[in-house]
Amino acid sequence: MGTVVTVQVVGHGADEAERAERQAAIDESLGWFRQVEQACTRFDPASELMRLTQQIGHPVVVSPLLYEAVRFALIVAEETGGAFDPTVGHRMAERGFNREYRSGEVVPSSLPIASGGSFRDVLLNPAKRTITLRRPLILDLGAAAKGLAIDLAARSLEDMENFLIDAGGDLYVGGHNATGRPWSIGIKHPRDPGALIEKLSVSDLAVCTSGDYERRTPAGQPPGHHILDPRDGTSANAVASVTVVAPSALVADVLATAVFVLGPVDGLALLERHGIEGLILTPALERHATPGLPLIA
Amino acid sequence: MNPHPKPAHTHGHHPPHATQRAGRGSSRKVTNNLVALGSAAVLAVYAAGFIRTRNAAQRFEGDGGGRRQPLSTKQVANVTPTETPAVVTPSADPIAPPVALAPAAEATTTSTSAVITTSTPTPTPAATEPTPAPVVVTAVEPWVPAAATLPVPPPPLAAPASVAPAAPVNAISAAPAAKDTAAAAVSKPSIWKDGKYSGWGSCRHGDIGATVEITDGRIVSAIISSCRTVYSCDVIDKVIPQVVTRQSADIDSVSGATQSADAFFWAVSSALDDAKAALASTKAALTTAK
Repeated sequence: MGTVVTVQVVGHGADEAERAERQAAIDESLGWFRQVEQACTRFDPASELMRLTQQIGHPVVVSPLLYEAVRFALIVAEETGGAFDPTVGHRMAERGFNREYRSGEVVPSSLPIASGGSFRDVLLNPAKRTITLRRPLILDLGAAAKGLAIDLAARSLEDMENFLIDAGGDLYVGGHNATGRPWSIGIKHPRDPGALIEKLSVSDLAVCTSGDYERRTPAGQPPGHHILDPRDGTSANAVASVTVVAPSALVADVLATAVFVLGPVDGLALLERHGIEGLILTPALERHATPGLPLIA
Repeated sequence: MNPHPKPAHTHGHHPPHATQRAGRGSSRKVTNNLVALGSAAVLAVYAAGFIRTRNAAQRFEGDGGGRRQPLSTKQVANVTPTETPAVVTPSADPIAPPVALAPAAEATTTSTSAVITTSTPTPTPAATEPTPAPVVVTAVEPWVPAAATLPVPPPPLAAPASVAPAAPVNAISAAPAAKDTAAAAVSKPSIWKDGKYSGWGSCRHGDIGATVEITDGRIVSAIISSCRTVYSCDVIDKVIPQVVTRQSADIDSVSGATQSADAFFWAVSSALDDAKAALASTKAALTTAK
């Protein structure tokens, strides 16, 4: 995931046993990130996902973790008419996003790059929990995998009640902060590094942001960023950042990417159809927010 | 202790605004409620551990009887989330850039970071993070595609790593002479079709993949083909051979590793279910042919 994960647990018990309990819960929650990484990354040829991509044309039994990440990604792909599409992986590799960006290592692909493939080339069989790729494809589960890991970590911390999980700026906050109030979350200004453009007050919710400032295309590529419109392979440019607030990080993270590609009008409509809150900022810093966004005045 | 007691975890629960909007009208009928579907996905992965709940899991620590109550992914995915209002109220807190923070106050926070990278098999832990047990693949098995749920011809010479030697074709008992050898299996007609079958089982700590090989209607090997649990699968090494000796997925529980043993049980059960279904479909095909 190439992401720094931070877990905070608010604890009032100062004795050793309670501290140990908190630490054990944190360890368990962090373990999920490792599990998701091993299953879902496209940057490790040995990952379950990449081994799946070497099996073309017949069903492959996969772990529940990989199956659910792919399944949810395909649901959103269908819902957005392909504006979100996990098969965007090959287009990302073409645009130079084939580098594990913490280590800087290029991840070679042994697969012939397929053109014209889409999420409709990925078939699921829920009864057997199999995935069939009808053609060579590289799946990018970045948003779904990170969101799923955050949600699973939150499950592990459930007994702690009051906690925060921060995976590279995508968050889930449980309960309240150390002062006994809802957690305060700042939304980064997309054009002013270090500044906040809005503030949210949230509890038991995930807050995930996609921004065009996060990862720029590498040298030698047309100028752009890492959020590609899967339908044409170009960087989506109608939006500068999208923040989604939802009960699940899986939903929030995937929808942040989907809304970014859909743009302000269709993106806002998608959020409203599903009763999910969000804030869309255009490059000109125009704001499009759902009415129930928990902003701090 | 908790000035703001909160309801049960709100994963899968619609925030209050979602409920309020229900009657507001929409330009399009919502066919997929993404919030509910997302929650179902998380539940499906977390299923075995979460649904049995912590209390139940702790109870099972001692007797290991919990796994005998199956809970399929499908069942879990059908759990309907209940509506519970989320607590979203304006805050007077100082805002914490850049993302969030817990202001220092009367309560303490335990904070741990880990760098999850893709370049190394294990994350580089921060100083405060204890090194987790490495994930160990107990028996290395080539990736087994779903096609393996169909019969695979026996390998020409050596079978892949297995806990029991492949049985000779005419052997009465393929299993070692152990006291719990399923002698009764000798006279019973087989319920499994020969071949290699794979399955997955889940527990609170992750997933375990198992591969079972059937020869002459008997289980001749059972291995962990993929260990994706937080803890090493070595902890259940001792019970793996029981699948062969007992000719069943019904292994003993392992004190201190009941979750992993349960996941292995379900993985083997799933593989054996496939073997059984393969035999049934073969018989059906023969009947049709006649």
